[in-house]
Amino acid sequence: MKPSEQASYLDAQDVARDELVGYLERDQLEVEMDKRLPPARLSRRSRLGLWALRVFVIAVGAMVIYTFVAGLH
Amino acid sequence: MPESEWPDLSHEDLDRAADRSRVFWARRDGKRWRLLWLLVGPGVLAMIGENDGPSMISYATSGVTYGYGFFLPFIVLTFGAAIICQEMCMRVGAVTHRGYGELVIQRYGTIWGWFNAGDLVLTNLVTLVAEFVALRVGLAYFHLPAWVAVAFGLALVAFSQAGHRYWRWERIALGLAAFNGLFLVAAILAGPSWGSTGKAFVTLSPFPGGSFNTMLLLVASTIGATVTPWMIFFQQSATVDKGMTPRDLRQGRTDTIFGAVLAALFGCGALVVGAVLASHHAGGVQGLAGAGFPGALRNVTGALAATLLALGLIEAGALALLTISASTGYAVGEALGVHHSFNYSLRRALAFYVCNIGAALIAGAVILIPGVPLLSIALNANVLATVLLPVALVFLLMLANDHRLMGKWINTRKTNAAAIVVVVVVALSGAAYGIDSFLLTTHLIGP
Repeated sequence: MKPSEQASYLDAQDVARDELVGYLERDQLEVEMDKRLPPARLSRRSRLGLWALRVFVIAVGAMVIYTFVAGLH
Repeated sequence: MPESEWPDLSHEDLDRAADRSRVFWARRDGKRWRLLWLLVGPGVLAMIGENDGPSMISYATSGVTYGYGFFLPFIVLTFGAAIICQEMCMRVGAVTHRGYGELVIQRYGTIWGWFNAGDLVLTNLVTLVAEFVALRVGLAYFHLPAWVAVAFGLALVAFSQAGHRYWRWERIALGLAAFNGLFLVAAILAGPSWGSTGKAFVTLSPFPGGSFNTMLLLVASTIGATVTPWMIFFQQSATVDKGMTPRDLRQGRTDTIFGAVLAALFGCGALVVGAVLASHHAGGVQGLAGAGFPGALRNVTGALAATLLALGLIEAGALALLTISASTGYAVGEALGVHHSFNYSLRRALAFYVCNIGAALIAGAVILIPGVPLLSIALNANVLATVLLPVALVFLLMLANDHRLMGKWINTRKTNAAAIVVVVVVALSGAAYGIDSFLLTTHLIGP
């Protein structure tokens, strides 16, 4: 490719790139999506509620797994 | 965006922008059907993907055990619940451009995020085993051995990812999803009692009798067959991977509702097949597990309906292999904070692709072990998913109500009320089955 052709090819690529990026919202770009969000502030009641939920799920999940394993025998 | 403000653009950004350009032009030119065609995908795949092997076996088992009746309208009801949950995922994904696991880790901490991802990987592995079971049962009808099911499943997962484009992966999966309709065709060909079917929808009866524990198992597994943790991870991450934005919410809702309607219809088809078998006294659940549902149906209605049912089971297993493997890859990628998109090359998103195919590989290896209780795995996979679901739903509700993230797209009061009802029902049904089964197994109560 001649230097002049190469330059116009690169220009065309820049135009295409310029046009393409316009179709995205800024926070859809990879560099934006890689940024971390700040943590949410939870009330004490919310935190307790979440822990209660975890205990419930672990307890019931263990029962289901125990029942399933016992059923294998 | 002015050129001076451009950040560095990755190859993935350009791929996604190319996809979005088609959406832009379809919207600008007022081509509504083309716009819908471009934006349909995550919702349909989540809903029909959940009409997977264990779900269809679970529906058919309900049909065999209880015939026409309560479980037919119950399936429709559970897909109504699925719409509420999946619409929230789609909305959160389109507004925040981040996956569910990523948001939970960043907003609510690593422990909660890893717990959710751990839940998901565990239930996904068990469910993937059940998907291979469905493939194996379907292919066994055509006298093909178990290793063919494993090889076919793994080849499909690898093939769908080969293009390194979300769009390509999605269209392959949607093509497969169309064949879920075979369950409905098989049900029609099986010659169901239309009177009993209609009566079940109108009167919600006959209500199931028999063992309380069996009924609880089927209620929990039916809920687990329609609303699951992997669907939450999958639809939100797929919405992000597809590049949907708040402008696409209307089409996203249509996609979700359309998927739910199709999935409910096809799921009812599977139940009706079971009911037809029951009306011909074709055998108990365990007996059918040995022979396979298609084999039992052939003895009752002939080869055509049975062949379609076998093909349907193959499709159900195959599609879910794609979607559930994908949700595993998304979840692990989000938990580790590494790249996780079908638009990335293998080198840039190695963990995503390795988890995607690795999960399928482990599950495939399990079904090659002789004497594995396949039907029990299929049913218990759904129950386990139901037990672990409340955690995922509670965090989804919190995300959808997070003002900082969602702005004006936050949940309405009606959506919150409906979602809370779903969480409570799911938690109670999972707990009821878990506790009742445990007490029976440990002989603390009698049968």
